[in-house]
Amino acid sequence: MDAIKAAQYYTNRIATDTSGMKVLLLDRETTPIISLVSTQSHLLSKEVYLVDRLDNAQRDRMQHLKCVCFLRPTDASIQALVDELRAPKYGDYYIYFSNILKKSMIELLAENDESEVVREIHEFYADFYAATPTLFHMGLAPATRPLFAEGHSWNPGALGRTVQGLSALLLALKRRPTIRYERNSAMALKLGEELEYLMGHEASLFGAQPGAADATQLLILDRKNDPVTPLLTHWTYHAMLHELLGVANGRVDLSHVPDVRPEVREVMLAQDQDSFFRQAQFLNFGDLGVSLKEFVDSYQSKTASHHKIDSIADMKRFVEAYPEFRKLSGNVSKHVTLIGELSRIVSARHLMAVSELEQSLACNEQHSTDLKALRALIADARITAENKVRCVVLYALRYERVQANATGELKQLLSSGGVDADLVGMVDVALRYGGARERQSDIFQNENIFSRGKNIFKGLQGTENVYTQHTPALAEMLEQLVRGRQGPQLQERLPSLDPRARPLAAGSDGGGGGGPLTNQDIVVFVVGGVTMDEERAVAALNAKYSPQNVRLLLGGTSIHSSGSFLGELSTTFFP
Amino acid sequence: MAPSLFALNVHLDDTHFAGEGGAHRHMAHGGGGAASAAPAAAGIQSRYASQDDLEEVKGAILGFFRGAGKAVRGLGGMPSSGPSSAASSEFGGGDDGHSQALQDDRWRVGDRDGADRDLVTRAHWQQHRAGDRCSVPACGLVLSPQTGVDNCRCCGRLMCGRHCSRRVRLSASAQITRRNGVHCRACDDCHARAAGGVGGQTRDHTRAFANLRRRAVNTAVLEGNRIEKRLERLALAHGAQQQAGNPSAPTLLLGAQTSLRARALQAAEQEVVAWEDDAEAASCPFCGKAFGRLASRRHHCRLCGRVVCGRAGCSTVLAVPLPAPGGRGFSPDRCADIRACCDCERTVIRHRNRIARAAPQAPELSRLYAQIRANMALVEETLPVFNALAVRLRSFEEGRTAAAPDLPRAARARKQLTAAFGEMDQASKRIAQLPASTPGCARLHEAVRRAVGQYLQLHMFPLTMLPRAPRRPQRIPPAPPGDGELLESPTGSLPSSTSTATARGPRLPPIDDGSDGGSVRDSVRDSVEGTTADGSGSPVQGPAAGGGDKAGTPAPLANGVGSAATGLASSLLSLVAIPRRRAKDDGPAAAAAAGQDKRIQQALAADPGKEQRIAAMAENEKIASLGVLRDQRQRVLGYIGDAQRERRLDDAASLQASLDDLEVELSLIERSL
Repeated sequence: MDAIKAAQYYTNRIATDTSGMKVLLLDRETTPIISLVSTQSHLLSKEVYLVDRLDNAQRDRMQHLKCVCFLRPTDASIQALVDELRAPKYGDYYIYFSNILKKSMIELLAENDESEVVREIHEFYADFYAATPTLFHMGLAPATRPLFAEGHSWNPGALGRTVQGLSALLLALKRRPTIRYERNSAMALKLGEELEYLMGHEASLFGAQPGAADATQLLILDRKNDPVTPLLTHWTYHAMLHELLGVANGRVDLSHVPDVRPEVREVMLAQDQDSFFRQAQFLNFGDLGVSLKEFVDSYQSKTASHHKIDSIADMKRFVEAYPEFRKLSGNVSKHVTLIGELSRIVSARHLMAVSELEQSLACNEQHSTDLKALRALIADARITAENKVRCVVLYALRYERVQANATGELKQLLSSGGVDADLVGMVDVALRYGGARERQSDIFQNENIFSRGKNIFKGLQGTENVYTQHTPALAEMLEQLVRGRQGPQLQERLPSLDPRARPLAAGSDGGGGGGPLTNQDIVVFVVGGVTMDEERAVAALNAKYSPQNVRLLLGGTSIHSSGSFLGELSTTFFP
Repeated sequence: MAPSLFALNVHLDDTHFAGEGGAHRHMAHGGGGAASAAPAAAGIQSRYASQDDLEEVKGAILGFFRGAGKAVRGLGGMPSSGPSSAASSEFGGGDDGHSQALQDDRWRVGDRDGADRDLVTRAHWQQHRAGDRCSVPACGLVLSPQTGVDNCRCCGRLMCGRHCSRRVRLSASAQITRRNGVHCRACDDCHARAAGGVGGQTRDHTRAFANLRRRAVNTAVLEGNRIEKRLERLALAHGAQQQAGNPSAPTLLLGAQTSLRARALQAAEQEVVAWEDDAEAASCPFCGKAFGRLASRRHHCRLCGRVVCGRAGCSTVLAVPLPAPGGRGFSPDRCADIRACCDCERTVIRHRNRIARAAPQAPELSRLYAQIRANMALVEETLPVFNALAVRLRSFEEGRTAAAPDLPRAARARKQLTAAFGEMDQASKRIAQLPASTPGCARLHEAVRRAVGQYLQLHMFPLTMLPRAPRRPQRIPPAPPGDGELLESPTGSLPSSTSTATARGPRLPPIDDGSDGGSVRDSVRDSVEGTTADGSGSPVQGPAAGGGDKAGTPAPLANGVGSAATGLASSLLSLVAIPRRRAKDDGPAAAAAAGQDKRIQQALAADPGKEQRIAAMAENEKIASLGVLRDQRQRVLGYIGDAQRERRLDDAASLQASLDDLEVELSLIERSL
């Protein structure tokens, strides 16, 4: 249940199954898939000396090379491959497709391989973007593959890609799960049905029936039931990088940062090679500073010890540590730059003030105080328009059913404050997408007297940190699920596609419901995108419940920051 | 009957004792009876081994039988199979679900696994014979009760306890399974395989693809051959026409002649393939345009006979080489123009490509690359062995192991490795210098160079880190009687360079700042020439020497670690100069004899017993050993010369150290005479 390992298994085999000098050809979508889980030097060590795009027409003829292709079975890639096979540029071809091939595709390729250069054709199911060990996504972007067709319904292209990606993930993990979906979501149901059909159709791949042996659950959730989490400012390292700098396939582009040094214009984030990042990714901003300081200090002491080389023993130590040392020095400058830039943005945009209000809006029911604070925030010229709109959206979502709702007035205030009309329109967009009418869970805990009481109780408990009060709804739900604390309403909320399936609560050893889950693998997939904060929460749950042998994996159609989330909604949910 | 009764009795005893190695003890006492028990036990075991769901008791009994069999085998021939038989006879230890459910994938000593309970087959196990070594190449220990003797339950190979310490789930037939398997003890390889097995479903379409392709290719080949035949016949026809036309070409009759010839040619062409009737073709089969009188004329494809139009996409004119005059074959100098439709043209091109591909392509690159790969394979094979030896060497030095390590073997391995690295580096440099016709080629060459650099960086640096001193005596050819002492003398074996430096500190003149990196080389040469060697045998001598050499001719070893490594080498260079420089300053000024005396004094101080030992020798003994030592000195001098010539400077340095030791020994004996 490790997304990165699952993908790496395939990339390793692609690189090592054939020996000899190799060129690796990729297409538009497999390039990021590979680059997320593999590195140039790793490929070099496996005799892959050139990496190129299949659709690059300027490739040279090199008959002495073997060609390894890793492609998605799309029409465009197949056509490009047909062209390649008609005029082969390399000696032998070993072709790996990232998903299930249609028979017609194999036929088309076979007819065009008249020079008999193809040695092997395989399906290797690395058809998902493995961002972290606990998080995968489908890489859907509004520009290339819009998610929604019209309101809450799938765009066919996005649906196809998601079914392919999810099925590939299940194949990579060798699971055939029982599927559950959120009852109020047509999109989740549709995805579940398509997937179930595919698993039945390709029984030879998935295994016959979701048997007793395979205790895997796939929960398909819908973002609309929790539109709050992606709108908040999160304060952990990885989440901040996503929200404030933007991480695209493991890379952060820093070229826009003022006076950035050339070697850190674009930096890579990889947990398996970067020990500091691995340790610090879930630290909040305050702890991050401390930990960075320790990191730099340890680096400095190491530098000092490296400068002092008097004896042979010192030298020996130096030579042994040298490659490690060089890597470390690159790493230090990378993280110093990243964190420096984060803190610059935080202070420039006054994110602390914004976040305080956000958290209050997300967690506490205090209409008049919130409204007052919000008015003050809108009047504050130092706050960016996007952040103002975000807060108003949160207000509109929380106090949608409150008598004294002042959303209209706030929108007015925004407009008169010079905020772009399109941005102001986002308030209505968000309400249409995830307003109370659309949601089935009581995320604000303000809909009935019981949940209100719970909310007040929570408020009384006090909070450690004003900026990190909010827990993603998904994490709360999963925690209840794993602890076996969920009431009947959770069962109601997450019906199974297969009516005969045993209830979710029962552990695999047939505890008869109610008890905590054991020996259970759960893949959670969020239609509409996930956030890094949810990833953090799931990783924490994984660590907490690994003694129970419960393993969680989170996935989504894409990874969202607040900007990309609202951007995606704005494509369809304009009133 | 009797043997099994006996065994049962013992078993009953054992369940009451349930002590560590209980069965073993019993079996050892009752050796004679157990000898006949073995076949019966084996029979039962093989009958039941494949049954997954044996009851616990039954399993225990059979497990006992198994242990008995083993113990018996131990009596007859093999010294002992201590740990594994002890483990298999260990009934007392409770093997319950809890211990199996542990996440830990290391095997805990004392656990009984599926094979011990006879749930998993042992048919594939490697039998243990005396002198067997651990199957892990990096280990290679001779298996003994101390090392532990275990079969990997999965692959069946024998290995020492340390390398067979993983747990995997196995089916009854010892295959790795994810579920419903029994936890078994396994080696790292199998564990890795089991972990890898979790990763990913795959599907192979190669066979289906090949079947489909065979059909397509067969038709294509047939088509290609047919077209080729036709082309040949057309070329012959054209050639015949031209030869007939050339000698007599009266200008007057040109028009009539040409039309006559054209008609004859056409007839010849039509013999190759029947032409489609003009009247039947109303439009071009490719572009679909109707033929007209002038605008869109009809043409015949000479290869298939179809009527096509003359536009670029529909038909082209192929230049076909005509038969060479007089001789056989076709010459490309003279060509005939032949119209062909686009279908036929494509077939011709593909056919030609196929023939062109069949021709082997063996550029320089492939040859060099093969060389690199061969060396890499050699390194992959030798390096683990060498590393294991090095570890043992080190622990020997630190006095943790008593057994003398295999010095010549280590030295041989190291030499092989160094040579392989050198060759790889050379080959990769040659590849980088190969002329690149295209930017892609250049990128390829660069990438190969980088990969080799990366490889060397990964594998060569740890290699040069090895303690060098202990393998010095290996350089001295046949071991004379006195050689053993030589080895054991502290100066000879491993003086720490730092301590040497400090010990000498007071006597040294001030450090000379003027010398640069070149001084390293000088000092190395000096030391090799025997004037001032301090014989400290510093471990980094190798890279330092190589780095110093970088300025001059290419050294086989340390030269090729890519740009990053050269930076490192140069920094090392400046560093290594510090202790060396002192040695040098000590050097040329001091008279050789004085240096010699000093060394003798040192040697004596370090090993006071030596002089007495020499003094105790009889006269003739002394003379004999003197002869041997002198002979040795000559040889070592020769080796040094060789090493110098081949620029193996680190080897030369260590040889020099042995030479110094020899000199000490020699002068001691000479003096006592």
